[in-house]
Amino acid sequence: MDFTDAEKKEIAYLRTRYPDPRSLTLPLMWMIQKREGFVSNEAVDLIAAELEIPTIWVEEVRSWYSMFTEKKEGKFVLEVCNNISCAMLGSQDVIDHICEVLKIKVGETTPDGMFTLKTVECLGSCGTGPMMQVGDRYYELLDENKVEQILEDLRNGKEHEQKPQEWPEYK
Amino acid sequence: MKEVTLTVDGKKITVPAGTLLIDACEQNGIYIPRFCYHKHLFPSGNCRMCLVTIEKNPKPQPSCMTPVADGMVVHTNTPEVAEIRKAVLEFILINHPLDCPICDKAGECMLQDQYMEFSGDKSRFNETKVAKEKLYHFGEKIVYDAERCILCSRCVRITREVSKTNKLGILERGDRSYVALAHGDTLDDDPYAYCVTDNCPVGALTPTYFRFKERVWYLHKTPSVCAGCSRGCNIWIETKDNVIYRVRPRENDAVNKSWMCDFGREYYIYPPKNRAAGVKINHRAVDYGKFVSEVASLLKEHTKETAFVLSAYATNEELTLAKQLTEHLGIKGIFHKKDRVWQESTGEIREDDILIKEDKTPNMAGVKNAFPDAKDINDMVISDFKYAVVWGPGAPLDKVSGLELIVISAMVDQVWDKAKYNLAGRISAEKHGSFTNFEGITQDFRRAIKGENNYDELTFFVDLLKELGVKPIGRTVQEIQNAK
Amino acid sequence: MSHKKILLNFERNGTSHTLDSYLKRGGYQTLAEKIPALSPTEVMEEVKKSGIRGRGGAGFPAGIKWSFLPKDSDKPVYLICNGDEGEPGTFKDRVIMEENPHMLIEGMILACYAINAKHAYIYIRGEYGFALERVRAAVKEAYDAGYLGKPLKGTNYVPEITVHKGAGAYVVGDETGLMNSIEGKKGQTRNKPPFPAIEGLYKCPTIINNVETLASVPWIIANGGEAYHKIGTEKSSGTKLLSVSGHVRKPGVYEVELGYSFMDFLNNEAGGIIGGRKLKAVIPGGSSTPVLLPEDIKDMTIDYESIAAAGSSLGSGAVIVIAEGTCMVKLLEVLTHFYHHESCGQCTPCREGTGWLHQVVKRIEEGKGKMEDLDLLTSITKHIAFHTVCPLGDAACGPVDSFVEKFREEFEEHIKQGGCPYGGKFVRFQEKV
Ligand SMILES: Cc1cc2nc3c(=O)[nH]c(=O)nc-3n(C[C@H](O)[C@H](O)[C@H](O)COP(=O)(O)O)c2cc1C
Ligand code: SF4
Ligand code: SF4
Ligand code: SF4
Ligand code: FES
Ligand code: FES
Repeated sequence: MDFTDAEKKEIAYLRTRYPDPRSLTLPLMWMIQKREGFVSNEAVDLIAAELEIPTIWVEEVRSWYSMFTEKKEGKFVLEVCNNISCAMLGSQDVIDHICEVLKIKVGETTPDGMFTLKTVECLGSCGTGPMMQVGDRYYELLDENKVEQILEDLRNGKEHEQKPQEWPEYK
Repeated sequence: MKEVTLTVDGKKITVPAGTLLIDACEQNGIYIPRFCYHKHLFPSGNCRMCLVTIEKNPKPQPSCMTPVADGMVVHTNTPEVAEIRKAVLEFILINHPLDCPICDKAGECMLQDQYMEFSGDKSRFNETKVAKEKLYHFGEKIVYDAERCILCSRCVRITREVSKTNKLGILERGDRSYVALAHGDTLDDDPYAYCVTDNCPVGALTPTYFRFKERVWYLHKTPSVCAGCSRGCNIWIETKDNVIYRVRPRENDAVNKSWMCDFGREYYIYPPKNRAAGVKINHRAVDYGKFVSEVASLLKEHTKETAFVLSAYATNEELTLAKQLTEHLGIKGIFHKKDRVWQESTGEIREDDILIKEDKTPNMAGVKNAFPDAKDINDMVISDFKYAVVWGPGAPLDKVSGLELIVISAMVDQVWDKAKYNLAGRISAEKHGSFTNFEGITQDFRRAIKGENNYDELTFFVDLLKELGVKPIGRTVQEIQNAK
Repeated sequence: MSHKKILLNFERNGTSHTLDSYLKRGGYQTLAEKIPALSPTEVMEEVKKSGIRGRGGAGFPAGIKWSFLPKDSDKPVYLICNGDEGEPGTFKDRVIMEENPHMLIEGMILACYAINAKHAYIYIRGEYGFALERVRAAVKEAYDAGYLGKPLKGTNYVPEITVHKGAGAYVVGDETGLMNSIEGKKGQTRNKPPFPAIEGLYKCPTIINNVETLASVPWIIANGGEAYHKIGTEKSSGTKLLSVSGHVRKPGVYEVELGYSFMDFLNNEAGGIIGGRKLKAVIPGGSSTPVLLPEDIKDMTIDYESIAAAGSSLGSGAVIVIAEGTCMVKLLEVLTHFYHHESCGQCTPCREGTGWLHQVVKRIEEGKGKMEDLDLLTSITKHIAFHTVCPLGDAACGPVDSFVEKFREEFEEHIKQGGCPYGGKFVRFQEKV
C-alpha cells in the first residue's frame, strides 16, 4: 500500500501547515479512509512510516475516534442519531424501520454489502431530527417513508445534494 | 535551591521549590495513596486517588500534578478526602474481577493494599462488569489481563519514557479501554519489558516466568546488585528453598531509579548452565585442604613465574585479600581481564543511554581501585611466565594455554578445562560483598542463595593466607570493610 | 421583540457563504478600515470592553482570556477556533460555518492580529461534512483574495488559517482534548493547570474560542466594544445564537439579544409547544445543563445570570424543549448512554462511573429498579463531579442530579410499577404544517 502521487503532494503541503508531523495523523487517516473505506493495519503502518512515529500511536487514534473504522463496512453506512432530540422525535421508529426493511440489526451489514446500520450520538442536527448521516451527507427530518425512499435512492446511485438546514414548522 | 513552606494537615513543612505535593507530603511522613503516580515517571494525574483539598481552590486537586507553593494550605486527612479515596476505590473495583485468590500480584497489590487501608467498604455495584480479554500475550515474556488493568498508564509511560520503545498504548475509549501493542508487535525485544510488570500497580501485567509459580508472601527478599554490567543495578533477589523465583529492581535514585534491564534479570532467572563445580587437581576431585596447601606452596615456590589474572566479577572484599596475598608473596605479574564481553549473537544490547553499559562485568572499577598497576591481559608477555592463577571466566585461551593453570571460577570455559588446579567459585547471588560501578559508586549485596558444591572465594583467600602464615585483613566481608 | 442580527445578518438564500455575498454585506470592511488604525492591544481592549463571554459553554469572558497570554514569552502563539459542536442539542456553530464562514474567518484574522498568532486552526467535527466543505472553500477564497497568507495592510503581520477535521469524539470539544487532537493524538483531555493560554497547543501559549465567539469579533471591532456591551444585559452582553429543538413548533437557530424573556422566546420565536401540548421540562443550554421545570422558567431571561439563578446554565445555548407525555427516565437513559459512550477513558471516576450511571438508569427504565437506586445515583454523581480530569465528568452528572431531583416521582413510579408508564418509548407528537 502506498499514497498516490496526488496524495503525496497533499502530504507535502500539509507538512507546511503544522509544526509537528504527528499532527498529520488524522488528516492522513482521513485520506486513507476516503480512498479505501476503512483503515487497515497496512494503512496504519503506512501512516506511521510516513510520519516516523510509533505504530501504536496511529493505532490508538484509529481505535479512539468513533469515525475511523478498522474493517470494511457496507457501501453505505447509515448512522442514525439516537440522542436526545432525535430520540424524542422518533429516531427509534426510524431505526426499527430500517432494520425491518433491510432485515439487519444495528451494527450489521446487509448480505449484499450495500448497507451497514449504526446508531450514533448527536450529530448537530437536532432541529431537523430524526436524522442520519451517510458518508458526508446528512439526511434530516426522517420518518419511515422518507428513509425507505432514501435507501432506494442510495441503492440506485441517486445523489442527494447537501443543502443548509431547512427547519420545519409543526402543528 | 529555593525552598517553599506550606501547611499540610496543620503541620508546616519546607521542601525545595518545584517538589510535587505528593512527594512533599511523603517526605514529611504523610503518605498519599496513589495508583498512576510513580516517582520516576512523568505524572499523568488520571487515577484520581491522590486528590487532596487545597484551601482557596474550589475543587480537590491531584497532589501528583500540583507543585508546592508558598503558603499553600493542604488537607489530606479530612472526611472529604477520605470519602474521595473510598469512591475512587469503589469505581476501580466495579469493573475489577475478584481474582485475588489466583492473582500473582496478591500480597503486593496496590489495589488490595490501598483498599484495605483506605476503604474496606462493600461494593454497591450490582450491574454487569465489562468483560475483557484476560489472556493477551505481549510476546513470550509478559501476559496482560485487561480485566485486572486499572488503566493507570504506568506501563505505557514506561515504554515511552524508560525503554523509549513506545510499544504500548491504550486502545478504545471509556471503560472499554485496554492496553495494547501495535498489531503483530511483541514486548520480547523491549530491553526493559519486565519493568512494566514490576510497576503495574495490580496484577494486570505478569511475567510468564513467574506465572502461578509461588505466592509472593512465601518469597524471601535479599538485596543484591546485578552483575550483568558495570551499571550495577540494585535488585531484590527473591527466593524460596534456595531457588531464585523472581528478580526485581530495587529502587536507587542514583543508579537505576526503579528499573533494570531484562538481560540482567534473565541472568538470574535462567541461571547459566555452565556452572563450575568441585575442587580438583589434574581433573580429579581432591580434598579442599589439600588444594589450599598445594596451591600455597606452588605460589610460594614460583612467585616470579606466576601470572595473577584478576576477575572483574570479584567483590571488593575478595580483591582486598587478593592484594594482601600478592603483596605478601611479591607477585608482580598482575593482570585484569574482561570476564564477559558483549556478544552480538545473543541479542544482548551493547550499550544504551538508559542503563546498559558496554562493560559487561560488575566490578572493573573495584579491580582498578585495588590494583591500579595491573595490566591488561592482552599485554601479557607469555614467555615471562610458567604458571598462572586465573580468577573468573573469559581469559583469552591463547594467553594462558601454555601455562600451568590454577583456575578459580564460577563458570566452566575452555581455560577451566585446561587447568591443572580447579576451584569452583560463586556467583554474586551466592555471596556477600560489594561492587563498585562504573561511576565509582560502591554498593553492598547480601547472599541470596547458598552455593552448591562450590567455594566462597573470600574464604579461599583467607585460608590461603593462613596457610602462608599471614593474618588476613579480615575473615568476613564485615571485618574487611571495618578494617579499611 | 425584534433582535439585532450580528451573526445571522444575511438572507438564507443559498449564496450567503460566498466571498462575493459577504463582501456585498460589508464583509472584510472591518479589517480594511480598522487595521492598522487599531494596534493589536487596542483590538484586544475592544473585545474586553465588549464583555463578550465565550459561546462554547463555559461563558468565560473572551477578552480576559486573551489577556492571560504571557507577555514575555518567546514561544509562538496559536489561535484555535472550536468548531467541534458536540454538545447534544447544539447546532448553531454549524449555521455560521455553513452559511457565514467568512465572518468567522474575518473574526479569526482580527483575533490572530490581536494576539499575534503564528497560525490559527479551525477544528471542525468530522461529521460536519458540509461545514467542512464550506469553510475550506471560504478559507481558500480568503487566501486567493489575499486576506490570508499576505501581510495585513499597513502591517507585517501575516494571518494563516488551517482547517482541521475531527473524527468523532465529544470530549474533543474540551479545549485541551482538542489540542491533543490537533497534535495527532487521542483527544483525551489534559489536567489544568497549565491553562492553554500558558501552555496549550504544541506546549505554546494558545487561545481557543468557540465559532460563535470569534464570528462576533468583526462586529465588535467595527462598532466598538462599548456598542456591543450596550446590547444585552450588564453581565451578559451581546446577542446569542440559540439552537432550539425537541417539542417546539418551530425548531431552528435564532439570534436573540441576551436578557430576552425565555417564555417569549419559547412562544414567539420557537412557536410554542408542538400540538398545543403542555410544557413538561426544558434543558436550557445543551444536554449537560440541569433540566428545568415550567415553574423554574416563568420569569427566566436568556442570559448567564438569570439561567444560573433558575438552577441551570446558558451553556451552548441549546434549548431542548420537552412536552408532557415524554418519559423522563427514558430521556435520562439516552443521556447517560451518551456520556458513557463519550467518556475518554482516562480518569477513574468518569470512566467507571458513567457506565455505572447508565446501567442503573437503564435498569430503572426497564422496571428492574429499586428505591435505593435513586440515592445511589446521586451518590455516584457526587463522587464523579469535580473529581475528574475534565468537565465531561461534571457534565455527565448535571442531568442525572436534576432529573432525579425534579422528576423523582416519575422514577419512583417506574420502580413501583416495575416498568415504564410510557411503554418504554417516546411517542411522536410532531406533525408537519
Ligand atoms: C466535554 C466538553 C465538550 C465541549 N464541547 C465544546 C464544543 O463542542 N464547542 C465549543 O465551542 N466548546 C466546547 N467546550 C468548551 C471548550 O472547552 C472551551 O471552553 C471553549 O471552546 C472556549 O471557547 P469560548 O470561550 O469562546 O466559549 C466543551 C467543553 C467540554 C468540557
Ligand atoms: S497494565 Fe498495569 S500498569 Fe498498565 S495501565 Fe493497566 S494497571 Fe496500569
Ligand atoms: S543494566 Fe546492567 S546492571 Fe542493570 S540490570 Fe542490566 S545488566 Fe544488570
Ligand atoms: S472526566 Fe471523563 S472525559 Fe474527562 S478526562 Fe476523565 S474520563 Fe476523560
Ligand atoms: S440529537 Fe440527533 S442530531 Fe442532535
Ligand atoms: S496518583 Fe495522582 S491522579 Fe493518580
